[in-house]
Amino acid sequence: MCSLPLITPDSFSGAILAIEGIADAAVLLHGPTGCKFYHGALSERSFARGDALDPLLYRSEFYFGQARVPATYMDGHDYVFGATDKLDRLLSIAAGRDHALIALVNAPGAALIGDDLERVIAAAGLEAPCLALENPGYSVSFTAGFQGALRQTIERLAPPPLPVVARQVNLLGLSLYQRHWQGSLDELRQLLGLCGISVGATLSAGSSVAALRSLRAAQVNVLVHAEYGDELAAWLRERYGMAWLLPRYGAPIGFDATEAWLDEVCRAVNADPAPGLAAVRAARRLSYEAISRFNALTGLPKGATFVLQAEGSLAYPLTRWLNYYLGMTPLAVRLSDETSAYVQPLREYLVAINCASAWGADLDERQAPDVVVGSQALIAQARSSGRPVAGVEVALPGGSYLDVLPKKLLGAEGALFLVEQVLNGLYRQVL
Amino acid sequence: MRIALYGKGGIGKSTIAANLAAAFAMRGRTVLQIGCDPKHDSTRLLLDGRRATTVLEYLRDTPPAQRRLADVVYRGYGGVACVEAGGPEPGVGCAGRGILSAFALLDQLGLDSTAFDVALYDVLGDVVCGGFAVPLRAGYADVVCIVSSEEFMAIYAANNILRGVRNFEQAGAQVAGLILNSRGAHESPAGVQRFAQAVELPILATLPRSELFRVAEQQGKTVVEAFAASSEAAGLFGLADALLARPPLWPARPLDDEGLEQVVLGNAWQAPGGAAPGQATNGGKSQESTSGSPGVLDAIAPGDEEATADRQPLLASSHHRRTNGTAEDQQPTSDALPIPAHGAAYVSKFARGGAPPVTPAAPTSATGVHFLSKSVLFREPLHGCAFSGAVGTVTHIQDAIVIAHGPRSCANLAGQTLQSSGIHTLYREGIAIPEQLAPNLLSSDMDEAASIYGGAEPLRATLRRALDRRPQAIFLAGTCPAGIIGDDLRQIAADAAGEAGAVPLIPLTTDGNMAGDYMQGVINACIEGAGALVDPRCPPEDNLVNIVAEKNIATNTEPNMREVTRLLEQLGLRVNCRFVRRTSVEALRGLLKAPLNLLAYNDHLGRVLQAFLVERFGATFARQPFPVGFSETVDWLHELAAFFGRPQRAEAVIAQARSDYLRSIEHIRTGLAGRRLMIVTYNHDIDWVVESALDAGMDLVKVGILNSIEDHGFRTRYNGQFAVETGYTPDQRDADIGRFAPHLLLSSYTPAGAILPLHCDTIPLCPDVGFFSGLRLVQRWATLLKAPIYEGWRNDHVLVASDHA
Repeated sequence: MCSLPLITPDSFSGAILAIEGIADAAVLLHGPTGCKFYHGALSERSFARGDALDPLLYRSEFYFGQARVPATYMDGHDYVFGATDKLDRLLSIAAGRDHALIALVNAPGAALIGDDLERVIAAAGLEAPCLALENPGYSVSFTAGFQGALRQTIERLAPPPLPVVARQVNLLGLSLYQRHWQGSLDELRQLLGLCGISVGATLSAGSSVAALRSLRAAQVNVLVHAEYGDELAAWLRERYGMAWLLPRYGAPIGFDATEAWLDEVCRAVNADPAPGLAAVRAARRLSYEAISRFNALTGLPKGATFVLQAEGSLAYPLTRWLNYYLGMTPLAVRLSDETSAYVQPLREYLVAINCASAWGADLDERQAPDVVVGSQALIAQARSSGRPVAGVEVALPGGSYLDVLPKKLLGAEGALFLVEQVLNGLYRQVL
Repeated sequence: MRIALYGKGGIGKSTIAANLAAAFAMRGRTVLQIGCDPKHDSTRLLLDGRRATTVLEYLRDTPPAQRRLADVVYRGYGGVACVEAGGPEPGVGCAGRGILSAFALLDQLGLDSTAFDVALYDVLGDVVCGGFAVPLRAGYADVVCIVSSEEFMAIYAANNILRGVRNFEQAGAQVAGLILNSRGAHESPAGVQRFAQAVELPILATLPRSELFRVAEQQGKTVVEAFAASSEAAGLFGLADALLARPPLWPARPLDDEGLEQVVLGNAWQAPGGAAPGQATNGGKSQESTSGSPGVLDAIAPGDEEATADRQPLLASSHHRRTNGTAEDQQPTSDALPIPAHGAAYVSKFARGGAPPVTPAAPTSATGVHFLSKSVLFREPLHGCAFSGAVGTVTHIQDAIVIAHGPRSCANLAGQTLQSSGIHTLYREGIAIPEQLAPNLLSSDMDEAASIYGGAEPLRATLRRALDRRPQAIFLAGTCPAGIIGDDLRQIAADAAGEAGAVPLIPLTTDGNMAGDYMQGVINACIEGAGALVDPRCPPEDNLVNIVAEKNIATNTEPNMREVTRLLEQLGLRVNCRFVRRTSVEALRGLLKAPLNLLAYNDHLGRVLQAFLVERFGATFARQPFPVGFSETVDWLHELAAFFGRPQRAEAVIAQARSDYLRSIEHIRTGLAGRRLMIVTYNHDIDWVVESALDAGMDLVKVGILNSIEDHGFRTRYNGQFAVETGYTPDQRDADIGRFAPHLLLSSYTPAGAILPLHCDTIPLCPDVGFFSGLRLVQRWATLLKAPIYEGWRNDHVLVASDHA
């Protein structure tokens, strides 16, 4: 038997991580611990907000040693008789934790029995706004759950009309489930700042409830990862008349897409892109110096092969960039969500470079790639055969490497990080 | 005969069921009646108006180890065995899930409906979801009777029930007919008669409206008991006799909605065969009558005036003594013992005999003892889910495929657990475990529609995908949503057996966490999954051992296995099969080739799996688990060497290790002697580190044992040499640190925040095996104690916002 495809998360995880991305918000999970532990660990690891990890400090009912995503630990009895009594207790504990927003999220099983979350919320009388995500969806895409939860959050927060601040944008489509989201966000703020553009709210990773309440001050909603924000942007336009921008080449990953993204954003808010583009050029120079020397000794990275699996907004610009800029050839390109708007342009690009067979191809045991670009699970899978595969992590789930210095995938410095990863990965193989 | 009585709510099912049960009993039959309505009043009239403890109440209130069938089976009038499933209050929870849980418990406790002459299932209202269809499933009811009145909505419900019944007719026709419980003479039976003709079913009996039902009910009795000589009782006896005569069974031929209205309301109705509106449907298509219309078996002619009782609310209690109307010649000896005691007497009477065993809903030993995880056994909050534990176990069978039946998130979460462990092992130990990095796991991707209409179709489609890959076995694990809606994995697997050919399709008891926690899933997967593959006739071979109960998500499992393999090789032994890790269907089939089995851990899981393999296959186990630390390794090698008759080899290995150990201990003793050590841990067996610490001259001042889901029962061979406290808490920890002022705190996790100045180190949850595991840790302390007590980075604690729970 050949390997089965990795199973991706669905809207349930999307909803939880949308809320957990808001710095001062908290998800309270109505469901079993089996639905809690992974999300609690992922939230903590992607966005550490507390002190050191000592599970004994989180020993109160519902927390099970984790700082994030407390749960009502539903069991068979609760599925029959309901568990609103646990919800009442959990809300009373959460009320004492200074959360600026609380979301009660039903696990898939809990959603079937219909405990009345709204009644529990009303009875709790919390000061913080509280919303109920009654149905997280079943096998619906992660991004649908993500955007749905944010839409409900904004509806609950009801951001008031504010005077629009010139050259202020909101960034949509940022999630804790994106590798190195925090470093990438810092990089985008930096580049936009060079162009005189400020960032208001980020939806949702790294945002705060206060920033979300002020989101109507932004001139434009700019998409970073389209699949995490396109429906939300359209809804914000319909609801609040906010303009939105869907950059043509996807997320600003690699030099070319970053330049295009910056240029488009600056046009949208009437800002000068030159300072930002200058920063990208400076990075290009560093990149050139490294690649040219490496290439002189090895002939690489030109002709190196790669397998890539990521979401469309990353996969499209990254495939183009790895191919056009670094001269690498795709053996397999797979999207985590095949309903992405980038499916068509990506397939057209693969056809144009005579690599149509790479679309959706499996990892081929006969033709090992030089570089695997994707989650650590994908990279480890490729390495488990014993082949010396270079890995470039651009998606979660991550590996065991502990990032201390925030890494960047997006923007100019993100491109440098990617070049560094590719060159060093290939270098180890050459050696 | 096992009869399910369905019908619209309030139609009088429970009254009819109780009266039928009484009538069957009067005819000398042994009878079981199970009420499947959350309002749990089905058997009240058989119990003198008293209320039975429901199965679900019992499930909630009684620890698993104390559960007995006798506690929920009550002896009622005529010796009828009475059970009430129970359920939630209206508007909360999931009553259908309650029926599933109740039947699962009854199965576990060994209730065998086939041991009775007649089993009656009194089922709430409509076949509203998978839970309420339980009595129709294979192994339960084989005859369906539908109670209706003359009202349109009652007939509408009857038609819906036929739709539900049709979904369970794989084994053949099941419907005996309709029972018309009349609302009185003012109601015309024409509508229900036309309906019966249209769906080609007989009306088995027409029960008149009668005041006697109400009077009997006020006495807490059935009419059969209270007014045995009455014509009403005669009608019920007639119905009972008709059923005992095993009437022909008919396929369910429900009408479409439009046709139903036309038939019942009398618009343009023609008899079947006349292409009338309201044609009986079969999956949306019309179906020809196969055997002509059955006749009408009216036990009592319609037209009696008085009310049937069930339309009134049942009285809460009735303590009347038996009064008039009893037929002494038919009256059985009524058991006058208090209710719970009756159950015991009754069950002991019927538990004997050669009735076929029920399909276990959870792994059960031959003696009826369930193999339960610690959390399930002690009713602790469940950590993780049985689904994930089961998936994480059977995915280690390399040539099998595991199907996760549920939403994709469930399969993803289970897969993440596997992959995370695989990734850590790959990068920490340089060992690739393909079973974890690329698990053979498929998701049925249950969607919203499946959660409403049932998930059988997506599961069947996923099964076909799995079969296309030609695995050696397929395991099915259900999630919470699949369990709540009542998807029957066993039936679906049975239905697909022909398509699968020689590939075993093995459903696992999981239902998300409804079967229990993660460890329960591991247990179930080992017993029901891997255990089902073992060939009991396989002859033993020499020099082979099996490895049992390794921890699949610990990152040192493979290094430990390498060390054990190295030690075994020094004795001239090989590993035959790992139960269940990194194995194959073939290896599991040949499990019994190995004459000796070695436990990886003597924790709860290890003990459960040992009990299973000993009981099921007569397996022989070494007394000691994988050895951790010097003395355990010596003992372990001695035991293996004795079993296989090669003591000299063991002594040579031990002598070399002893020399190395003592030399190392002597080297570190000067730095550690007299230092005070305190241990706070989840581990319940720490002798391996205690040994080396004491050998190094340390003073062990206190051991605090935290509660663990994996084990209970702290054990040590150093009794009395140090203070031990179980059920330990962080508050105690801080107090003891102040009291004992240890130089070193060894803990499962380093305490956060500023506590008294002391050195801290962590103790692994799953220690390395072999002679030197304790020594390596103690060697580290010799250098650790030279480091500054309070590292500089800790001063930046103040920079981080505190967000403690």
